[in-house]
Amino acid sequence: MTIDLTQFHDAFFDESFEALDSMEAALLQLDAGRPDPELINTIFRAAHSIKGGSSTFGFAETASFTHSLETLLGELRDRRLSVTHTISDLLLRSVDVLRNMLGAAKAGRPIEMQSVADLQFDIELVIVQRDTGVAASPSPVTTRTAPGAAPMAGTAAMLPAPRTVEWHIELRPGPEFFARGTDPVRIFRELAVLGTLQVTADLATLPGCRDMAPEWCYLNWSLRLLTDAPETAIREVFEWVNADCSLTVSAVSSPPAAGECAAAATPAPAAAPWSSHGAAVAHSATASAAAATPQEPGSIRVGVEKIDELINIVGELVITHAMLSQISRGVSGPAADGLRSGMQQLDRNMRQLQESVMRVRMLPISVVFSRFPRMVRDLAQRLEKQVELKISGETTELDKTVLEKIGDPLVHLVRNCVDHGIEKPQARTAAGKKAVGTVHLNASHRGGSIVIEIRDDGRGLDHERIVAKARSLGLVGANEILSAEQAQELIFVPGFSTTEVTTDVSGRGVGMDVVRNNIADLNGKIEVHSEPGRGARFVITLPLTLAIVDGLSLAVGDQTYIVPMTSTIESLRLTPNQVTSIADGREVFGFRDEYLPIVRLYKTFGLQPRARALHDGLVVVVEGAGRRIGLFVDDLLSQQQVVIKSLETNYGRVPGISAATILGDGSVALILDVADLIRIASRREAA
Amino acid sequence: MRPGADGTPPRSEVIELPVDCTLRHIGALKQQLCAVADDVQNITLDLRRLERFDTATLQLIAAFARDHVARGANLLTCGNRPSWDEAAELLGLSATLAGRT
Amino acid sequence: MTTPTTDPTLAAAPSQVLTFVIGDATYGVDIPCVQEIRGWSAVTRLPQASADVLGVLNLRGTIVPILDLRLRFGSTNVQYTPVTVIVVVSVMSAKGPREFGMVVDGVSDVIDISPQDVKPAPELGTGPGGSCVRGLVAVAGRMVVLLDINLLIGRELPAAATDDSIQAA
Repeated sequence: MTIDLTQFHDAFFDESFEALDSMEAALLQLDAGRPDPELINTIFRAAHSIKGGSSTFGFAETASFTHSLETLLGELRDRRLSVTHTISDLLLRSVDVLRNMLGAAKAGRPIEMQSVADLQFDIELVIVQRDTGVAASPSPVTTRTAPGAAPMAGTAAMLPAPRTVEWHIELRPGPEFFARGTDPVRIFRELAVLGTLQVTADLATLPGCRDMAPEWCYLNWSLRLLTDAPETAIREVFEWVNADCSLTVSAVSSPPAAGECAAAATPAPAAAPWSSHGAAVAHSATASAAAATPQEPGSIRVGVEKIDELINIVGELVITHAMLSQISRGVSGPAADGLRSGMQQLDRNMRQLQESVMRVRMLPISVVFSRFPRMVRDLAQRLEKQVELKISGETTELDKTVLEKIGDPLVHLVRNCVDHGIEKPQARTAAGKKAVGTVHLNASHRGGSIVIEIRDDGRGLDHERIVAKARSLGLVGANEILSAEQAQELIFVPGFSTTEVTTDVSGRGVGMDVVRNNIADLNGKIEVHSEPGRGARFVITLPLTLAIVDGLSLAVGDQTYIVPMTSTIESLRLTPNQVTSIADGREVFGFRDEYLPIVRLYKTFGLQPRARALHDGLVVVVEGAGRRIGLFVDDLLSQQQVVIKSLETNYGRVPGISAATILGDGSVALILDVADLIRIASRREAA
Repeated sequence: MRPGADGTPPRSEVIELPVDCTLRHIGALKQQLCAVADDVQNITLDLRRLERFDTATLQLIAAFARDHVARGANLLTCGNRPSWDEAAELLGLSATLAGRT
Repeated sequence: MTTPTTDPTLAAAPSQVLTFVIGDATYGVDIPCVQEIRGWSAVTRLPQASADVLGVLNLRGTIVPILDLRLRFGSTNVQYTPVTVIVVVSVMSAKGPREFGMVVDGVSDVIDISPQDVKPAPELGTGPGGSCVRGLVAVAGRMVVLLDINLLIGRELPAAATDDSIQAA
């Protein structure tokens, strides 16, 4: 029995790119004169984890390169080399090179080895020069000791004398522990550096040689570590350990100094105004005892699948709750009031729980925004433009999956701003503007949504040119008059691009239509606002999460459908004179300044409706992929949050339907895929 | 009945560990180990060529050693690998790998 | 050496089969596939699904398609009452386990059968259910048609329905 290691590649790449980001961030903070040992440690660990994973998965070039890098970082960490500008430059270049290498490995492209080899040579040269004494080493520390065991000169006086504590560490890896790139022997080796380590392997779950999958990890370990290093130092060793394990770290002997500290706190209660209370005294004593042992505020790496499981369970709770509250409305009698107030309480708790669980999956958008400063700088240079990038709201958090999928559309939009929006400096000054153009990225929460705004002060969208181009492409009739809003919408039409000269920056073909589709896939939408000569503003609205959607429930016959709120514009009751029947039974109605086709949902889905005459039912104006239609339904039921359930797990894709959900009474309702419905409707028109 | 007890010479076998025994090649090593019959009395692990190994390697060898020692075979190693001994010690597997249970 | 079906070592393991009735015929499915047996409740229709896919139900929080085996096997006059039974089965597919419910007239029994008693199905052609029969077995003088759930689900529930199934109306 063997397992396919490639299934773990994605996780490896994710973690490696994450590690590179933290490496880059730490490098940018690194002060050449007085490097913070903590930052060097962070960089070292990042390189170390990439090296480990690379060799596990057989990316030999990456492993070899990170080995050299790690050696250099080891020299810096152990202060045999000092951080110079040359070295910090080498390290920054290493981040770029590693990104390229991993990117190539991920895409299965060959690695461009020349730059790798050059850089590796430079790195090794620095190390060799250190060995031969060419570069002066500031502190001739040669013994490899734990940072906690031998505090650096100068800081020693500040720190309390370290105490030796016995730690008990239990490591219970999951079966895929090795395959995900963690090698316990490397971890234990690092632990051994901290002090005296004694390891006991538990072979109880190790099967016979013939029965085992040798790639799986069957062993569990319990370790005893005698060290004066703080708990944080121990936990750090496990920092890059993947989520597929359970880890406990506990002090066996309570630190004696903490006890002393507690004792010392007791005779001094006079200082505390509320000392007359025995409880308060005891409390302050334990508080200082706790303060004596450095407590990490703590973060743990948790597998996304564990979080998703939590979210699923919360989803189930939301459904059960909806069911209970539906039942409780029909209850009468003496217990009814109590039941209802209990339900209200439960309702509040549910919402809090839901929010907290969702928040676990959320990451700040800075993860995506952080790539733009460099991108904009490089782009501006190449295009001979002067561009200032302003970023705000980068701490706004959104769902990890949304975050992963929004990166590419944002890159495209920012590129567009720099390439098409911002003018060259001469043109700007000629137009009476500052030579330096501005691109502003902003993220914020608005209600239950995330709004991302990309704004530039460039030339704006040229309506006339857009319309002219659309006419030449046959997208707009020769005599058709378009509003400004309609003209702007044209940029989202597939294949539309206004630049006559295709640049290698904004590419060709793949354009705003792809951006819009990607955003629609996330149940979001994008709008453009532009003022000629003053700039353009793209506004993306995204749901906070992909697991739950705000929906409007619609009745058609005996069925209930959900349409996402982000797709709905308005609902109206049409009178017969508002509707125009055109060829082969198609109907349109005037809405704002355009004519929208009516799609009778009962016809699309083959149902028996309650309302066949338009004035008996309602028309819901919905929007998807930049187009609007009027959905004719029997009635609107309510607006509610629904938990998204896949139809494809057990069945398959259904045209016009994106997913399903479970209603309060336990029945299933289908969620409409508005963009798909519009596509189906337009194909029918074409047929 | 243990082989050798009836007068036939005890069977011996030498297993040469390849250069790379890390996770990617662990399947091949397992096949090599599984090929060792249950009546081999003296098993020698030849570590002289071995250059790269990881915890998975030691885990597999530990399972192998335990199986064979349990049925009464002798386990020997050939080739002085300080890094092997260090890793075994770090993983708490020294006794198992040395054939002591 | 003998053929696998009569190999005594293989034949030694009997298997358990759940039998149910549709019309006059008795069918059987392997017990390990069966998740639960439940009464009828109203389903949510799936647009443009084939006639014997009635719709979807919420089973313990997952959305499960319901297939009317009676329609599938050629019955014409089917009714849905509280005593109508749904047998929920699960099969492994490339995407992981897939569950679906089968509407049958009634559940009869759990029987033990030995593999050597299973006779290969005669060429049933493309008749109702003919393509998903694993074999036939006689139990107490009655013929039980053993169904291969994998074939049944593979044919009935495509991984991704193409949107061509929506006909321009």
